[in-house]
Amino acid sequence: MYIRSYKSILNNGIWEENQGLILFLGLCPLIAVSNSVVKALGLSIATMFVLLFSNITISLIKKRVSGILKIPIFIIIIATFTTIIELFMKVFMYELYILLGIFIPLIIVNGLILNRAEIFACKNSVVKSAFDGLIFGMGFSAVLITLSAVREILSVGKIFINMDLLFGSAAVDWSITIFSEGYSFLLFMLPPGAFILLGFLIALKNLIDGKVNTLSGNERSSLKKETKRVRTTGPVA
Amino acid sequence: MFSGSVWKNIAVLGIVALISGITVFTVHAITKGYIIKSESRYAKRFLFQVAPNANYTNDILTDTINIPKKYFSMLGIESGEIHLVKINGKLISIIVPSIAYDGYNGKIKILVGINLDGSIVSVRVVSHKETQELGDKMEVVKSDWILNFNKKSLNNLEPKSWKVKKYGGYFDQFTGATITPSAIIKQVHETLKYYEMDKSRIIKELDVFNEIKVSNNFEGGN
Repeated sequence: MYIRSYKSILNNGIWEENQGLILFLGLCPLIAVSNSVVKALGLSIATMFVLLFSNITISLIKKRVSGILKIPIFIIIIATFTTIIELFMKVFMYELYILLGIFIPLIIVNGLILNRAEIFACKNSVVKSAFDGLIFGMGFSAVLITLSAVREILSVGKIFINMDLLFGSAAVDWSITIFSEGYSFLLFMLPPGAFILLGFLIALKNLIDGKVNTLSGNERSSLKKETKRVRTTGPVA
Repeated sequence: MFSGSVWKNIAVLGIVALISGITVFTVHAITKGYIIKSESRYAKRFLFQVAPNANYTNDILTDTINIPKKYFSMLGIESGEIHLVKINGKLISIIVPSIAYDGYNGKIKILVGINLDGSIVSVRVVSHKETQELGDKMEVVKSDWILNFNKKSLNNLEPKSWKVKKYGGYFDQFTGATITPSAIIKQVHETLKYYEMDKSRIIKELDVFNEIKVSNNFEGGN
């Protein structure tokens, strides 16, 4: 079964089962859209909106839907919310919508959302499903935004370019130059750079996990070593 | 025949699809007006940049005349209209859409604002897929390069000067990119040639249009 406490949802959504770093769901938008922070934010908002509301809706109707009908109905629900956020984006941030292009409609087939619907929302209460959607959405968004920030800095030496597309004219000069004017590194602007940096992010996560394990698991590991020694000597004797 | 559960499934799926359809329809109906506004704001953003000044009195987005089909290949377009810029009903310049195909990666859509005497008001790139930071210096937000076209015409720049400096022309190339600027220069040149060829038709058509208006007014006055 897949029933969890809020604490474990939080832990899994953000860290343990992070959809971007561990399960690699939604890899296509993650790579394609992470070349600027404003695009990453735009897609994050849209994905979180769809994930939150599809989880809530699916949890609400979970008793009436079963078996063969599950997947088509999930897709219809996800498609509905994707279309709604698409329309809203057209109203409020038309330019950003144009920039994101096909990746907004592609949210429908983002494995992350269908995964949460199938694994969690159709088996848990509405509140828990909403929480799950929010947290897993945040986990995905965190990876997307971190990756985009690193890429933006390494590729053009600036961060927060064109933020006015999302936050209106007040954000026109939010852009911060980090390296000298005119700096540019093409690799990080293109998808290969995104893959390389994603690899580094995963390595960083594993490094932290390793450190945490050695810190908390010292006693257990020493115990394991002993048992191992007993076992290895066992058959020989 | 289908068993009972199949009919039940069809019914459930139908109901879900119906509810989904109604929801999307409702949201669409509510947002429709706002979306049209954002779309026209987006389209206008470039149009008013290639209009000679901000004092025009007509709606440059909707005030258009058609382009004859025979010129489509010259402009690289499949459809499109000339936008007219008028002050108090008098035509002062036109805006011609055009597409350059010789770029590094796909189409470069441009808008060329042309004064009636054939000189360029200004040129803007509407959309492109050139390499970021390398081939995108033709965006006005990235560099002033595109402003080099201002005031140029077939009269003050001879045909061999419509090239980048590297090939003996008048225009700068960007650092690391000559293909993209060359494509744009060529297409702007083509657009000016088009205007020379189609000029008499445009002005005539507008005159006829104005005359009809005037005579209507006259009759109305009677």
